Order: sequence, then C-alpha cells, then structure tokens
Amino acid sequence: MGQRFTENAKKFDGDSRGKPILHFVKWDLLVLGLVGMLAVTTFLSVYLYHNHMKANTGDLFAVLTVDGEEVLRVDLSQSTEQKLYSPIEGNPDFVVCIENGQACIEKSNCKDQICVAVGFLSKPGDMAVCIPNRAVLKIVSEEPSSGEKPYDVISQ
Amino acid sequence: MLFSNQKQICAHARQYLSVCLLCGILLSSLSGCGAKKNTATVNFFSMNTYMTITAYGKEADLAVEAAKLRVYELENLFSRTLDTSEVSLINQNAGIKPASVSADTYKVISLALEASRETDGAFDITIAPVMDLWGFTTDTYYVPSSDERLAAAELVDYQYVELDESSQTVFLTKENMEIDLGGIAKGYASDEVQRVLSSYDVDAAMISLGGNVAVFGEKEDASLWKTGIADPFDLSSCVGILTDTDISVITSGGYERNFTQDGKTYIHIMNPDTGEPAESDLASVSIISADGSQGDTLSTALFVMGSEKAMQFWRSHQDFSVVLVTSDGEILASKDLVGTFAASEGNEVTFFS
Amino acid sequence: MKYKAKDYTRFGIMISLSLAISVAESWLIPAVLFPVPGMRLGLANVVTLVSLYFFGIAPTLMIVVSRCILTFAFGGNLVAFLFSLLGGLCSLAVMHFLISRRHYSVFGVSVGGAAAHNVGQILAAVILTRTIDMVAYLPVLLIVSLLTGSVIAIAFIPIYRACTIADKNRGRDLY
Repeated sequence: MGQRFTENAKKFDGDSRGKPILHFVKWDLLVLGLVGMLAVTTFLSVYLYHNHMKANTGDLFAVLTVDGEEVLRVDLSQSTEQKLYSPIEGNPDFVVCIENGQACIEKSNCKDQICVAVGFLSKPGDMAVCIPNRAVLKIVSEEPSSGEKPYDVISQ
Repeated sequence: MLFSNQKQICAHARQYLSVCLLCGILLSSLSGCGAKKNTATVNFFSMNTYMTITAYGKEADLAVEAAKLRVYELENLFSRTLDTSEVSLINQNAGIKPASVSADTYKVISLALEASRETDGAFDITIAPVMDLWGFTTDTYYVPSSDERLAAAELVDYQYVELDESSQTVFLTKENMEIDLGGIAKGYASDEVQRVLSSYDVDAAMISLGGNVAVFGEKEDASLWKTGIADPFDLSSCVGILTDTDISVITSGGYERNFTQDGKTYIHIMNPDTGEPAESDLASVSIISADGSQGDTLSTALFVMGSEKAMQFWRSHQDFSVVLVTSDGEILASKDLVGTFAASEGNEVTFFS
Repeated sequence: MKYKAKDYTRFGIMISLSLAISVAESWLIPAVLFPVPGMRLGLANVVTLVSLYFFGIAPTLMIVVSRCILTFAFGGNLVAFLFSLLGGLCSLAVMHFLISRRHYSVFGVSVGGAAAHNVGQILAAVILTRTIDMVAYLPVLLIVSLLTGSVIAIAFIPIYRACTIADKNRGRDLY
C-alpha cells in the first residue's frame, strides 16, 4: 500500500491537492469511526441525562429559557385549564400554551415555525427550540426545593 | 517511506483501539450504576386530573409505562365526555335498550351498585343529571330552581340500573337517565395500577391519581410509606400522617370543586336524595382501605352522610378505616388507626370507636 | 495563482449549481424535520467537493460563501444564512485538511465534511441559545451525515470521471 502512495505522490505537479482516491480505503475507517464514536458519546450523555431526569420523582415543570435565562416556569401538576403565556418581553407573538399537564409553543413569530411544529411536550427532557428567538422550552423534573417533607405523598 | 507508513498506520490503529476500549469500559460501568437502585416515575394527565405513578424494582420502567397505558385504557371506557366510551354508549341508550359492555365497565358498575346498596343510596352513580344541571360537568355553574332540581332528582336512583351478567349489559331503565363514574373510576384505576405493577418485578410503589393515593411495599430504607391527609382548610399542609403500607387512601371534600354565588358556596358532591349539593357537617372524609374502589365510593358516601352517620357506618362495617375532618376543624379517626395515624403539629385527633 | 477567464466561468457554474441543488433539496425534504432553521441534507456539498479537488481551497471558499449569500438573497432567513455559513466553513476546513493529508478517499473526506457541517451548526445553536440542550440532536445528525457523506462521495465518482480526460502520457487532469 505504501508503494501506491508514492506512485501517486510522484504524479503531482506541486500543489497540495493530488488526485482524489475514488474507492474506499482503510484510512476512511478512522473518519467513520470518529464520527460514529462522537455520535455514540453524545447519544449516551443525552440518554443518561434523560434517565437521571426520569428517575427523579419530583414535580414536572415547563421551563422557557431565552438567551439561557429562565423567563417562565409553570408547575404542570396544577395545569387543568388551558393557560397562555407571552413570556418574551416585547414579543407578543410568541405564545406558550400549558394545558392538561402538557406544554407547547402555540404561536411564534419565526419564519420556519419549527418550534410550533414540534407539538406537545409532556415528559422530562422533551423540548422545543426556537433559534430565531433564542428560546428553548423544555420539561424538567425537579425535587421540590422545600427540602424534607414530613410525608411521601398526600391524599386530597 | 514504506516502513514509516506502516508504523504510522499501526500507531494510529492502536490509538483508535485504545480510545474505543476506554469508552467501552466507561459505558459499561455507567450502565451498571443504573441497575442497582432502579426507580421510575411517570407523570400524566388522565380522567381530568394529574396522575403520578412511581415504582421501585428491577422492572420499574416497564411497570410504570404499562400501568399508565392501563389507565388510559380505562379512561377510554369510563369517560362521560368521550362520545366513543362505553359509559357514553350506556347513557345514549337510556330508556331504550341495554348496552353491551366490556368486563371492566361491567365490574366497575356492579361495584358501584353494591356500594349504593351498602350506603343506602348515599353513593349513586346515577347522579349525573344533577351534576349537569348545576353545571359541574361543563364548568358553567348555575343555581337551578327547585322545580329543576326535583325534575333532575327524579332520574336519580341506582335501582333504575339493570345489569345482566350473562349478556354483560347495562340498562338505564328510565329515559334521560345518565351515569357518571367520576366517584369510583379513579379508585378502580388505582386498584388496576397496583395489579399491573405487581405483575412486574417491582418491590414497592407510590401512586397518586389526582389525590387518590395507594402505596405498597417498603421504601428504600425499609421504612413504611408516610401518607399525608390534606387539610381541607389549608391544602398546602396536612392534618396528619398515616404510616402504613399496602393501603389506598382516598379523600373527598367539598374543597375539590365548588362555586360561590350570592355568598353561598355550592360543592360538587351531591346528595342523591335531594338533588342538591350535600349539606354535610364534614369538610373532608379520608377512607383507608385495601380496596381503592371501596375507598373512592365510601369517601363520597360518608361525606354525604355527615359525621354521625359516617361513624355509625364504620361501626357496623369496620372493613376499612376512616379519618373525618368536620367543618369546625375537628379531626376524628376510627380507633383502628391508633398507632398508624398521627396528627400533625398543632392538630389534635380524637379516636372514636 | 493566476486565474484565466475560463476559470471564472467555471466558478460561476459551480456557484449556480450548488445554489440550485441547495434550493431543490429544501423542497424535497421539509425543513421542519431539522432543529436548526435552514438545515438541509447538504447535497450541495458534492459541488464543494469537486471544487476542492479541481480548484483548491481559495476558489472553493469563495464559491461556498457566494452560495450562502445567494441562498439568503433568495430565501431571506437571516438565521439560516448564519448557520449555513458557519456550517459550510467548518465543513470546508475539515475537508481541506483531510484532502491535504492525501491518504483519505473521497468517502472519508465527504463524510468528514458532512459531520463537521452538522457539528458546526449545532455548536452555533448551542452558543446562540446558551443552553446545552441542542446537543440532543447531534447523534441523529451525525449518523445521517455518515449516510449523506457516502452518497455524495458516490455521486462524485462519475462526475470526476466525466470531468477528466485521462491523458495516457501524463495522467494529469485536463479540464
């Protein structure tokens, strides 16, 4: 294999490009392997993070962040009737809807409407992203911050 | 050139393989972490309320998902607001012909009728027309005239419901009659959830279906579950804590749903005899039992009965335990709860026998 | 390097070809499937690849940037423009690096470029929204890039052969 390389190299005219190799070579496995491993590592970190969230027995909240800052937090367990929010200042066309334990981006002023198309979010880890607004709506599961409760569950 | 190329390839290959190995070790150790202390929770909306199911055990994840699906299944059968449900089918055929139903629906209705007989009509699923009249079904509240109330009360009597076991049918014998399973559906569902969870490798579970609680097994530290009973006058705190397991704790109270008009508060718990919101001296009733359907029906029935008759009922049955909170704030608990139920700080409980 | 008039016409053809492919692929696959506005399968990379092998990094850079600007001019989405520009530049950098190494085939180069394109876009999204959540989309996109990269490499082969008239004596590309 080394000989083929040197033959090719001799055919150059001095620029750094060289002839393209038109068939699969073993070196490509390195590229494919790296890409595959990157995919696996990112997938696992996301998966483990989700699992950690699922195991959390806390309450579910719908949280909206804009530019990384939290602008809206709603407790899903209290959400029976539909409630609409326009949590972004100066942007009345961006509407978040909370209903029946689910959240969604009802309306948005962005061009692609990708965030609206995502639909309802209900499980921890679900999210809808609106890049033009730099907004991320996601469901998180959090232990109540009040610390130790005297009971595990309440009957009402 | 040949030699160095081969060396290069080997070096790269070694690097690549060692990275792979490292990742593999990391991953297996991480996945091993999860298996030891396995817990899973699902939160979802069903039967018009928020539900949480938490299980502990090797098959917890599978168990909670299966339980959730079972609840959705039951909702599709029991929901009065769903046109395609079996309850809707029964209601649409009132006074016309018997409706053919599945085993679950038949079972829950027979349990409901049995409860009606036991409580002498204090619990009655045929209360639906009255609930509609007062606007509790559609959230458009209304105070009806006494004529309207009487007309609606005419359609309320559990004895007008005919069941046929061989053909598995339910017949509402009077036209315009309707049944609403809201007073028993969640209790039945919690029993079914427990059944589903137990069929998996699950050691303990904590269930809350809109405030209808059921617990079984022991917590991680081998202690018993602590179930709080909500204070009807301050929902963020409890009147007392139950320390026990393998029980279902179901509470009914006027505070759950009501509306106020002209200074008077009308609650959603109806008295089947009068066709009006129950005028009870109780603020809440909590039934502690092994059976969720029983807990659900009795909590409503005993609320309607009022404190005296409720205590009488307990004395003559005693196959459950009860905690009553009167409108004066007095906390009464059946004697068999001594040692299990403890009043919270600032509260006092009187055990009755 | 001195470019002749015929070179410039070829650059123009490259730009319009990649523009056409880019627009066409956005019609074929609804953009809502992707988390980033303006995200595409990246089929226009076949033109970038041809351009890199035949013309080198400098003209290709110009072609890619021009294509991004023109796509914006015809589409109008500013955010999409920024993302495609950043993704394109990342992809270019990686592909140029891989080609200069000389022992990667078009498959390696193409897959590397597609992956770099996606990573660049997700990275930009993470920086923009200031949340790490966007990384959740990365695994899927990377697996897809393995596929699209291979497809583009496969498409490249007949194109290259058509563009080269093998000279028996010199074995050098005449174009």
